[in-house]
Amino acid sequence: MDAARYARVRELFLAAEDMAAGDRERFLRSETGEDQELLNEVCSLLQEHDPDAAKREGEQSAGFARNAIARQALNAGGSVRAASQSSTASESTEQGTRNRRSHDKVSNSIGTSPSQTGGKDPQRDSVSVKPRSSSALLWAQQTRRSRRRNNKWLWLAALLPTALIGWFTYDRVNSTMEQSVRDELRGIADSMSHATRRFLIDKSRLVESWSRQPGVQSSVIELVELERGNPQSDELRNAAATGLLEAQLRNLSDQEEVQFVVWSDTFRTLASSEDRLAAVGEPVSPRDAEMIASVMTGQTVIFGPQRIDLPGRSETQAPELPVMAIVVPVSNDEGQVVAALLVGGTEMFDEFSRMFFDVANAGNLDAYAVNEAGIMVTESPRAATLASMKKLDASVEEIAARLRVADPGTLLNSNNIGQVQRATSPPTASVASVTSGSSTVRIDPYRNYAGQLVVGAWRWNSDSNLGIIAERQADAAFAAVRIVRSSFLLLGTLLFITASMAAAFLARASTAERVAVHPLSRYEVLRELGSGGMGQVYLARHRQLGRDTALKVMIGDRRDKQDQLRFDREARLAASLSNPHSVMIYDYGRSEDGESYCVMEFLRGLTLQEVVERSGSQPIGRALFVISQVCEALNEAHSLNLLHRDIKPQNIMLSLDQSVGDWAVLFDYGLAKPLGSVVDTVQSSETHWSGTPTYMAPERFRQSNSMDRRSDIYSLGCVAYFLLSGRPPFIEHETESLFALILSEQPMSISQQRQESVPDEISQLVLKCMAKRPDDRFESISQLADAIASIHHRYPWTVEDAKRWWKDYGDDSEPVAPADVRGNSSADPT
Amino acid sequence: MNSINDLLSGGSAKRASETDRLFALMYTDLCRLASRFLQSEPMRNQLSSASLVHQAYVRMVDQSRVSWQGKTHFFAIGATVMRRILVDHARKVHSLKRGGHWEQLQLTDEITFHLNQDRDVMALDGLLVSLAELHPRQAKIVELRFFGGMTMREIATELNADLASIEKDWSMARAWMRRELRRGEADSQTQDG
Repeated sequence: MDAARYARVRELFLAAEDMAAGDRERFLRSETGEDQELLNEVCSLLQEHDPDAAKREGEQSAGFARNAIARQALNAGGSVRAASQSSTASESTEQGTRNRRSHDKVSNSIGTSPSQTGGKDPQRDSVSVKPRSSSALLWAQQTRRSRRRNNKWLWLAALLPTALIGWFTYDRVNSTMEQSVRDELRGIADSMSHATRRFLIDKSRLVESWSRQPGVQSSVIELVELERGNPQSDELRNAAATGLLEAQLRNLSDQEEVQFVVWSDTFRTLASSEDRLAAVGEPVSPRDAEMIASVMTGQTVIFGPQRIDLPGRSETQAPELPVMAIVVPVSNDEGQVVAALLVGGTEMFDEFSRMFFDVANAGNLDAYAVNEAGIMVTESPRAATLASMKKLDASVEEIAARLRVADPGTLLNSNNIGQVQRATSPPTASVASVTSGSSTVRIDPYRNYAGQLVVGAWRWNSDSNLGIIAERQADAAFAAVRIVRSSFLLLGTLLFITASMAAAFLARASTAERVAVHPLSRYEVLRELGSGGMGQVYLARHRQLGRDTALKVMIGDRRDKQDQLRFDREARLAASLSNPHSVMIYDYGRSEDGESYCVMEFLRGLTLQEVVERSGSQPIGRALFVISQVCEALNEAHSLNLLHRDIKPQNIMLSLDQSVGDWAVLFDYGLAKPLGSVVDTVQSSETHWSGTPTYMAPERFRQSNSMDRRSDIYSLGCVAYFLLSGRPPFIEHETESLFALILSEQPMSISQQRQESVPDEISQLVLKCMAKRPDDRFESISQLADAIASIHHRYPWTVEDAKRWWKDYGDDSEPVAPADVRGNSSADPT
Repeated sequence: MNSINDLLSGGSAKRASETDRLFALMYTDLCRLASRFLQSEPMRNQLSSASLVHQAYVRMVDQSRVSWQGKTHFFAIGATVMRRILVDHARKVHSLKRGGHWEQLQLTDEITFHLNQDRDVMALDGLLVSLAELHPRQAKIVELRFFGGMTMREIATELNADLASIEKDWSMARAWMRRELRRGEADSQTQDG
């Protein structure tokens, strides 16, 4: 067949693919015509054609039984990450959609974890490990935590006193300031109130004394007697007594012009300096009647300050100034009150108003008096200023005795003064309080008549029915407090920053100290060799000796005191092992953070796991040779009552010794192995260090504490089995199923695994080691060693054999000089 | 390693010389990786060419610089590389161990080839050689499918063809290969008989 013919076949195949069976045959017969061969070709292809299966196979990850592979990988790997990988694998199984993505996931996890290539094992050079931190970095990491802790405390130590003292001082300053503002306002209000009263009393006394002057008195009595005759108004106006009275008063007050009014006890105006005060000869206006009535009972009454508007006055005229006066009774010789005399006028108002003006100017505050109706009766200088700046809805002239002291609800400015409804607004807090007769100080800011926030003090003067109010703008009053507050904040911030810096500096210094005294600071960490749930293993070089070591750092979680003591004991024992087939322990210790570390000999070569990975099942002689070496190491350990507890191919390193041949070293003695239930520890944590329990003795699953040296013999038997057959004795993905297998099943025979016959004595030896009951196994390692020695001569494994093997398989794991290792690492693209 | 990124980010202009260079670069790398798996039977079961190629991709390529098509291209070349590695290995083992006799293939409904078995690798390679003469595109699809682990959609991208036609070709090539395998089975049975 050639390409052209195939193309024709393809054409027919694709055309016929979708047809029903009957149509298809007819179609093909008509198309192929005489060519029977072509017809057969297409038909045979269509027979094999299964579109659904093709689609499935086309979407599968690859032509692999993926799940089975994943499982085998996990069990054979026997690594730290076994559990996590298996979860990925089972995940993809569950999904059932073996699509590309999950495939990537699996392959990714296989690819990135060194376990797959057996690279987890610490003492081995592995291409897949990444270059990690330098030692300085590592110890810095170790101590960074303590530094952070130090920092935190120091910061707290710096911050807390600063905050407390700052708050306390601020609070005290604040209350003191408030107190002083309060005192000041109260003092001003008191003195104003006092001065006002004094002023009014003085005025009253003066006028009273005038009224008792014989000249004044006689003139008034003359007027009264004149009035008795019920004269005409003109008669009264032209009475000589009026002129006499005016002259007298002018004389007494020592002023050019004196305003006065005289009323009779019949409530008729007898004399008046000005008609606008009262028209002579007319009856008393109702407005004044009440006042005169009380004067007639012998009291002195203060009039005003009040504006006296005469009817018919034009709007354009400047408003009249408020008038203030004293009204005193005038008695006749019998002591009977016969008339009321008013003396006063704008001058007195000026004098009164000036008093407030002076205080206000001197104290940088607002001072004014209000009457019972809440009308400002004096001309407040601030109100005048605001009015001239168009920030008050009244002109300067209209303030005194006209401005209602009401709260506009907002700060007034030139834009919104038109909207103020002052007549209907509520009075300010101060006026509301003072017109109800109370005298107090308010520190809590409130709005004044111009909407400004003020604090103030007020006094009610019941003699004159006037309220005295002193107000100061809130921000001015508390300016000092604000300054103190901001400077305290600034000071606190500065203090805090300084303290923090000091704290950080101290922490860093202490960290550096800790790093310097850290026992591992002697070692320069070259790279990470492997990691697990219990810690990391690094390749480290002793700085002074230049010796390469494997440094195992174990994280100290879930350890109690007893465990630590046990580890210490085991480390001591492991360190005392002198057999050359046991790994050498250089150093062991525990840091304050509860991490233990162990510095071991850095072994080069291949683990038994890798040896089998590379060349499958091993010759019998070699297996016996290696096992007998391990026996030597274990024999010594057992004689010291030290159990290994975790013998597995990954924990035995094989290298080539030029004179002996294969040289096995057993490492990872009992250190950091939990005594608790294996089942629990394996299942409880995905990344637990103990990984697969493939090589663990069955009795360990039942009673993990009852472990004795025969458990090590079992594990060693498993290793022998692994070497001879090239596979672990039991392979099972699920941990629980694996337990079941180990507990109950016999492993496949070695000869079956090797696909060749194996002498009985060898399989018996291995099976005796791997007996389920400890009693069926060898009593001790030395017995096992003897058994091996008795048959070993029949299975030679010479130095030459070993050399040949290492030449074939050992090449890419030739001991790599550390310098090269570093060179490789830096060249590594990842 | 930048050169690889450059080669891949060169985009659609895939010149033959560039592909050759990429092939050479990957061959060295994948050979080293694969040897680990090929040396023993237990490890061999873990071998997946797709995962190896993926590892190589992660290691060699700056993924931020390479487009999705670039990745597909990488995998396609990886498929060819892996084919060569697996076939070379199978030939070596074949000549060493089995004395030139291949064990019989067992066809199952679902899976045509098990690439973790040398005999399947050899059989597939032989069929691919024949198929390439008859219909090069179908041969390419089968190669990418089995040795690269690529899905039909990815293959369609790489070959710049529409998915439906790729799927049709795939199912026909599959039928053809199965037919050929069955014939081989029948032949050997008649010989044995």
